Amino acid sequence: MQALPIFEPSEVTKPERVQALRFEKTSDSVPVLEFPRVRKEGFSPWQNYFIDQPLKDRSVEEQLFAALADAKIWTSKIAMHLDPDTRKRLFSQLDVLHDAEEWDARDKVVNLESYKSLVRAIIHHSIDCRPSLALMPSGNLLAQWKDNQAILTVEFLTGNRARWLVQNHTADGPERVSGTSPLERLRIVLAPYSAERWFDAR
Amino acid sequence: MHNMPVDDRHQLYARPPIVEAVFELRFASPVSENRSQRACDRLAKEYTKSSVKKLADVKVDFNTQQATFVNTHTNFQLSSSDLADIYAVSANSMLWARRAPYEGWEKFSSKFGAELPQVMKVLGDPQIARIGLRYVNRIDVRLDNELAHYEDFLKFRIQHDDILDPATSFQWTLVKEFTDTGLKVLVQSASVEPEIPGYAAFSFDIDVFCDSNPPSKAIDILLRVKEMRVLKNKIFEAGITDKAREYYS
Repeated sequence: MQALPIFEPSEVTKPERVQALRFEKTSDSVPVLEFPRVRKEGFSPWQNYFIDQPLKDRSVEEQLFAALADAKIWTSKIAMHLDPDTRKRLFSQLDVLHDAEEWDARDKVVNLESYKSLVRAIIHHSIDCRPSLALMPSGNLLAQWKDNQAILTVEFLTGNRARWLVQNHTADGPERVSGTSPLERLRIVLAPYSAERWFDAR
Repeated sequence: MHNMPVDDRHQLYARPPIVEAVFELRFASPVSENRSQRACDRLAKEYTKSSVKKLADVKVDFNTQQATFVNTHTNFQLSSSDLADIYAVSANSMLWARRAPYEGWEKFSSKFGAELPQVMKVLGDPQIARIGLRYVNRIDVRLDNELAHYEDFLKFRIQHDDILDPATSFQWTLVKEFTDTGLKVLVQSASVEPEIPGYAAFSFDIDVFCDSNPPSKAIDILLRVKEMRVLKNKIFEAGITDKAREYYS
């Protein structure tokens, strides 16, 4: 086998970063072969660079577009696990939440990590029922599912966590229960309140 | 399914693991910014969003500790509102991309097939130096006792002794030139950042390209890219296991 010739790969619009090595490599005196995709982040003398205005200096429309672009492009990584209608609805809800005409300068665009948590929850728990969405002042997404008088409200947090609130009317009076849980445990912690009534299509 | 022609079999995936499909043309010499802008304007009605970015090479002189921006040029990009369909053109290249969900070759090739002759004309029928067709696949593997058995999904892999099992991550690149067709391939695979709880992920990235005497007429480019796609599909089918086929069918 010959040494690896230097071929420039065809361009992709958003290259995926290879999983970082968990350990620092021992230094060598003259690196013989280093894959471009495992180079450390930062300056590389042979790459093209986009010169962008800082986000805060751009128009509101551009800031909103950039925020939505990050969310929509990230979704392409996991789109094969997402029902196409769910994806369409999520995008349309994001578009509505970021309507430039309704936008207030004090509003914050969606926090990408919060959006990822929401989508991961939908995939991990096979959530069929689509929630209504709102944007918190922090940029976190707030999702709400209703089943008659039983309401589940979940704020999706960064780091795959969720803060939830159950509001219910029992025979003994109104009930409110809240908690913060890892995303994977959402169904388990909500089981006593019949999570399936919010998550599963009948 | 195995006895079917590769092309037919490839159509059957209901949920193909394609994150991005790209058809790229590189120009033998730079085209002017004015022409790039006009090419973008020509296709603007086919897309909903447009953006313009400045691109630059950075030259660093380590002796004087000075960095200068050289060869600054402009990248014009058009996209659909869901950012799944992209057209981008700059001085040195142009590309059509389709991000997931991939809706099949017919739809993707019809789009660039219809738009290519229009922009080639506006760009002044530039000489083409390289044609590339690249498919980035992402395969998510459910963790089993904290381990991802990627060998159950991918047949192309690094052979190593048990002493390295289980490996924490991997990365490989293969390059081959098909002298009979003049096509080259750059195939890469690596473990990538997982995105779904309980899953690990790896990429299977197939880049077929032609950089020796590529055609420059739109009709010939489209014929060439069809051949490239057949090779790309053969490599994909040879590289994945039946378990992967079931998973994405």
